[in-house]
Amino acid sequence: MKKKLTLLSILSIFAVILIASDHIDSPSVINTTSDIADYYAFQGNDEANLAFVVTAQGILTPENSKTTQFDQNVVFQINIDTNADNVEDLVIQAVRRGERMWFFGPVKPSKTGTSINIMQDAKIQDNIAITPYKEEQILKTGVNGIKYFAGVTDDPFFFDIATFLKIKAGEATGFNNPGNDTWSGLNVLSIAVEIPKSLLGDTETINTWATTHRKQ
Amino acid sequence: MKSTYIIFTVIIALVATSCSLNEDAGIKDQEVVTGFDGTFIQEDRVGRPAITTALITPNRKDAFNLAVTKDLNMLFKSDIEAELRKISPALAGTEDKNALGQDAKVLANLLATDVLNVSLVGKTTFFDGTNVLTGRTLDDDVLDTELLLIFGGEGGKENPTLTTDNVKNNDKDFQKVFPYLPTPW
Repeated sequence: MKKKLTLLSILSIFAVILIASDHIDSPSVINTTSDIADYYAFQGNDEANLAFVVTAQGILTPENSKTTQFDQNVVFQINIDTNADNVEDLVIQAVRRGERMWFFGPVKPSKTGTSINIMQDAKIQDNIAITPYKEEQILKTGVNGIKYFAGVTDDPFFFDIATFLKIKAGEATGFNNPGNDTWSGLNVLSIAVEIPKSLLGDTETINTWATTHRKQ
Repeated sequence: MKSTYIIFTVIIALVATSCSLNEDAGIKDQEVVTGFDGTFIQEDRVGRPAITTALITPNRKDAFNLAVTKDLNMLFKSDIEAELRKISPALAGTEDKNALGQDAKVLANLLATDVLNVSLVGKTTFFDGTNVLTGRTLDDDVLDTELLLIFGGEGGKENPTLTTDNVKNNDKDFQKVFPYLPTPW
């Protein structure tokens, strides 16, 4: 199902290719299915829980959103360091299989670093139907009290990055007022998990980051 | 003639890029993948917002994304310090500091370890006027915080046209309950 490319859509794609928070941030991941847009970690509305959100494949127009899917060969990994050495002690992995997103962990990874395996024997694992575009958000709470979601959402990031890049290039001297949210009207693929803090060890602070890994 | 050729080439390249994007999605829709075996290699990484985009030079972005997190500080703090001094008159000099009392070297040292520090016992926010770097919520105006720390100088008042982008909110309201994310456009 190919889309007709108008000059306008080509130019708008070109315009957004230049920009990001981590959206399309480097030559090799631009417009690939492993391109992470943003990462969030915050206390849930239930104070006993911590929520993690990873957004990816940014610059989804509503038209693109109809057909864009999570890549089954790309694993999303939420990395959690519980002892302040910036090495992941726990991971939560998410990978699509068919119309469902599978989640593994939190679990101690079999190996740390850039090369990983899916922790398919993890004691905590679950899967959820990926919410089809424009349909009611499908949510699930697993046996450990972990909540799951995967699907297309509005891009939650807001920033006038177009002007920022002009400033960096010396083409503007400052931001405009009012500013213009470059991400307005655009979507993103999102994965959200909310986890009881009790599953994250007994430390008071964690360090956390998101990675994507492609099957070799 | 030459410029016409260049424009034509650019448009062809863009069409090719755009088409491959669509084909990508189309092919993957059909693909049947079963099982979870195999080795998966890192292609992208993110901790704090906009570090790769704003502070890592183009020729180093791939290296940043492919790096092991614990090595980032060692590999990139000098690059980030140089970039901070280059882009911000408020951090360019050896005496210059930001509102947290950090000079370019100290701020670079913090940012180069690109992780989100998240409190499990207190309020989680990127910055709320009191708490600093205890998490990142969806509605935190994270770029204003970063701009203030980069361009605002000691009192946060320097370069006022650079310390906020004047975009304070998302284009859709966030939900108060899981998954918090707004429905798509």
